[in-house]
Amino acid sequence: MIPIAAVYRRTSKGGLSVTFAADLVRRLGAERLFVTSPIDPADDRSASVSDALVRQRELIVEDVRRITGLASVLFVPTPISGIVVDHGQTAEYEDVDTLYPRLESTLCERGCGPILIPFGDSLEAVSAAERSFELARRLALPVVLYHTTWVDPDRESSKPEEHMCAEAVVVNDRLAKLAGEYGLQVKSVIETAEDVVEGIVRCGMRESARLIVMSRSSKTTVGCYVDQALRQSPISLLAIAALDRRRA
Amino acid sequence: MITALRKLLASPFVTMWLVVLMYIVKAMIKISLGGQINSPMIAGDGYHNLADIIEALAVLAVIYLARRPATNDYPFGRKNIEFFTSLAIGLVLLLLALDFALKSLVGLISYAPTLDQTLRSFLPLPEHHPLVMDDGTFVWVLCITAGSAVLSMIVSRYQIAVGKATGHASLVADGEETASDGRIEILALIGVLGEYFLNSPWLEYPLGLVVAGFIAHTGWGLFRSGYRVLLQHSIGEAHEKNIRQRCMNVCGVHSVEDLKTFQVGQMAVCMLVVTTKHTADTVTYIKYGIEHHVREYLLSGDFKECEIHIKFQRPDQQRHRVAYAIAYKDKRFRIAGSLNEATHILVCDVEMGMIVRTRRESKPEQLGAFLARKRILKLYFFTGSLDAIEGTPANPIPEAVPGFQPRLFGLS
Repeated sequence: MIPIAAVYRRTSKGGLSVTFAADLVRRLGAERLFVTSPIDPADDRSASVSDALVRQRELIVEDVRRITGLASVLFVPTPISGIVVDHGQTAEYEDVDTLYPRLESTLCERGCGPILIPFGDSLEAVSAAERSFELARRLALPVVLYHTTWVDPDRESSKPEEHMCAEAVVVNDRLAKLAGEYGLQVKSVIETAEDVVEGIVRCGMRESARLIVMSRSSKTTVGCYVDQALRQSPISLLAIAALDRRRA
Repeated sequence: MITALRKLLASPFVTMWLVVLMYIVKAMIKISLGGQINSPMIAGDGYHNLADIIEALAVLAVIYLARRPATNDYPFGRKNIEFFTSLAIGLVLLLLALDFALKSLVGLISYAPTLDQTLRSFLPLPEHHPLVMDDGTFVWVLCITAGSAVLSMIVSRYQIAVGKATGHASLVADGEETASDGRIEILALIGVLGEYFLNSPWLEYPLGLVVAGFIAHTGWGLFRSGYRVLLQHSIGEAHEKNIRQRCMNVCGVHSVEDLKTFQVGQMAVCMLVVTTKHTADTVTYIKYGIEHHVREYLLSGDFKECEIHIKFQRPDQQRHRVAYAIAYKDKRFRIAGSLNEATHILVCDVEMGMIVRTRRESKPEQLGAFLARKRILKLYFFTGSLDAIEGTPANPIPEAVPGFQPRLFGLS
């Protein structure tokens, strides 16, 4: 079971996070919706507001029940190690898998579509893909694997597949095989896009993808693709936490 | 060799020159044979074929003009000129159907001489010309009429196929006209056979009425399509419904506020006004998604090309103002639980449900007047029960929020 948590904010976007998360809970058949809120750490330590904090948590749970119609809602002070649904644009929770609905109110509000999984030449993509394959299997959604590569000047072929580096070919094969093991309908799209994030989002738009799953990497220091996609994509995006930063 | 021949035959110009050749041969044979056997029907059909030659030459000229590229003066090119041909051929077919129906009725009435005389006493009906034929000319008449009918049907299919493949409405319209000629020729053939074998030439006339109906139907279709395109009628309710649906399936589209469509030649033009809550960075991709899916839909159906213009606008901002009663305590601001506890009023401008600007004011002496002056719709407190809020003005309505931390409400 994949636990789902919503980040509660009493704003219009925060409301969308809660409805999006509640829809996921229903689709995945999860037992309950976890709710957390971006609490100021100073308040957490302050004895003078401890009663207010307790009351606030009770009221948040009541409000979420009212918004979603879900009976089983549980407040958790910090995000759980499942999927956290947050409408914020900044990466507030980098140590957990965070789903940014990007103003969509539910995953399949516009009809069902595939989950788009971009991959590079690193095997890190395989462990990230496993999490998305599990989600795709439970949601009965097809998967599109996406890779964009630089043009190899030594090859004259017009087929992007023939410009892929050997490592990326291995990752593609591993992912396609793994998707087959999960019983998923899978399609690979290989391109030589001008810009990686542009290529990913455009592919998502063409394929009517309902979710893009991208993994963070602690090796990237500047120009993180996930953050770029978060600024540009109208499609909901699930950012998988970097392996070495993942919360235990 | 075969590929080159196929390519040649797929050219609209080659097609139309072959059509011209066909009509020249038909006209020469029919006019000479009609005069020889004293058949006004066959001779008349030959003269009709002469008119078809002129029509085919006109279609050639129209195709030449329609293929000229777009210019600054003609940004959509000159493709619509083809629909003048559709309009004209449609009109000609409607007149031909009327003429043919009238002649068939006259032919039928000629079998009831009393009725014929009565009607002619007050209606200017055309003269009835029965077919004059003997054993010596029968075979010639049969072969020429049957051959002409078969040729018309084959050439019409060829014209329509090339017209659809190359996107030339005038070629399709001319093909439909050729098919109507073929139907009339088949009917003439039935008349010839009926007279010769069954001695029942009257058979030709009720069938003539049916064929007139078919021709009128084709004529009306061509006339209507030409009229609609020239007057920029929408491409149709069903197409527009599908376009709207496809737009709404694109992530980021809030609503399709307006959709205008029309047709230029075989090109569909779509003008969309789409609302989205997203910002400029994202709108580029929403535009790409809409264009991709709408183009895919239009090109899979009736159109050869499409041009899509999209204007984006924000949904109604629903701008209004609310306020939070806040208290400054322990070096930080929190949402107050009561009016007594509040030290400040946080005035918030709201757009589309999000607080976009806040301004902190010290709690005024005259709170009611202050809130009215600032046009505040709601005043929020953190409390489970609003009973605790004593001294709060009735307007704006005080409301409870489920938290005391400004961050929860987008206030910091």
